[in-house]
Amino acid sequence: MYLSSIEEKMLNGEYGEVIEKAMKVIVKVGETLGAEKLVEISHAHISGVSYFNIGDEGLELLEDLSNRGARILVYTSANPYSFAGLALYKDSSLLEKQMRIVKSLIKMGVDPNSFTCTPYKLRKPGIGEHLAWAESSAVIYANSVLGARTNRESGLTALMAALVGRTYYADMHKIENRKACEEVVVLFDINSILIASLLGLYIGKVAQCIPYIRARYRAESELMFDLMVRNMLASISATSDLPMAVLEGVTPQHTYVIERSEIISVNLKELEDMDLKCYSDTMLIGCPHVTLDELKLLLMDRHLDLLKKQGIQRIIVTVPKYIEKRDNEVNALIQRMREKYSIEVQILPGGCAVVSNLRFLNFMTIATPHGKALHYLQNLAGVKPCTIHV
Amino acid sequence: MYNSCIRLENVVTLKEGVASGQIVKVSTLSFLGDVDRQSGRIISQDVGNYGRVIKDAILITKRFRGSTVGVYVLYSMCKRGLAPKAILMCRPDPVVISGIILCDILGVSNIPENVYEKVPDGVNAILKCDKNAIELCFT
Repeated sequence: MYLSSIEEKMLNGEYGEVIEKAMKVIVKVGETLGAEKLVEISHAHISGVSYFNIGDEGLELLEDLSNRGARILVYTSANPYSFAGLALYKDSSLLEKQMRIVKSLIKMGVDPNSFTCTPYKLRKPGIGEHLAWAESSAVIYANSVLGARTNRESGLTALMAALVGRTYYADMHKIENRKACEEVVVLFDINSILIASLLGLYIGKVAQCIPYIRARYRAESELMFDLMVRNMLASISATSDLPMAVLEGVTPQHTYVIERSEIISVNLKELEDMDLKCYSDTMLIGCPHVTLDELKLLLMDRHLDLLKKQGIQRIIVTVPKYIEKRDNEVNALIQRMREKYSIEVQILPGGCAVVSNLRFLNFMTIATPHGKALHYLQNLAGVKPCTIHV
Repeated sequence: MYNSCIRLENVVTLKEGVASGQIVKVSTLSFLGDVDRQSGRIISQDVGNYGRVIKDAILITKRFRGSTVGVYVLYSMCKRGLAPKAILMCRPDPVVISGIILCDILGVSNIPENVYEKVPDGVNAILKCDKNAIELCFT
């Protein structure tokens, strides 16, 4: 692999042991993927923040890096943490360990206001920008909607890339690899988050390469349109390794190439297998995270009437960490829901339900319209997911 | 395929070396969500080999999927002696490749799909990795 003189120095340990180790990992992964050089990045996004997922071994690795002086070179955001970081468990050691992970990341220079799986809402990358993002749902959104360029980095390579300000120039960084080679024709209107999610889960299972998706979206507003697209893409990335999908009329032109061959038609009947019909009085919103404006849209009166009819009594909402600064609006929303609908709303900034042990919190089932949550809740959080139409 | 070997040129090997273990075949996998990190057991029913433990196995997968946190799960399993001896994949996956590098186990990508189909599941095997070539022998 070609390395510039500064990159050679990084690799040879002239900037210290941490940089040397980070560079070795980036170069080795790059060589395996056929990269001929590295590329400078403008934004890294780190996954692997939940103590439930990375355990003591991950915690020790991050603490060791931060204690040995690891510092990020470019703007870096991080994924949300588990509910342990919100002191929701009786076991105080869970809170302590979760916060040690968060503190290590902040010490390395990660934006303390990030802790979201939607980093593009905090800092929106431009077309063609090179990124090193982990978090599969954010990667696919960056490539497919924003026209930015990032591979599906692992949680650790994203961190290593942040420490050296570079990643390997392969796969999604090169236009010739951003090639749609299957056409997916959706034979029904995408008119809700749930339908978008089930479609995404299905496409992820059947697509063998980057799909070119032709679909009609029926959204009441731009916010709802973005929510549907985000959830379709997040669902594709849960059931596949795809870092990108080309969405007709959405993906910026000149950020992809087309080599269409096979056509896959999808009708509503094909989504039935993924429609997990069961009942829960608790609903999860925010997987991926929603903004406060999006939440207000989802909790509009006509939507709430439907939720009430479906027996929802409690709503758990996960939002980006920076939303805790909008305390007054959050409290007003919670109060309105309690008084008008007798629905308890719990808004959790910086938290992620899927990476939290929900069985410990006495949940057995959770209703959600989010495909990503439907895919992961059972095995990761230990609760049975049920679909709900939103 | 028993008592026989497959030799492949033009694959990508992450390092040279030899490993032996039982073949565990799964069509798709995410280390986060499809594998229990405490026991190394496969816990998703739609990937193949449900309930099998991947500790010390030669794991062969057509494609990986899903979470980018899989690297931490693999790393944590390595630290606790629960990782496979080697991971072979048809489609290169940056998440798993970085985990293999941090674990310092054998890894091979670009295995042709028809070879994946031919490899017998559950048999003992010896894997020898050279520079961009492997030999996989079944006993």
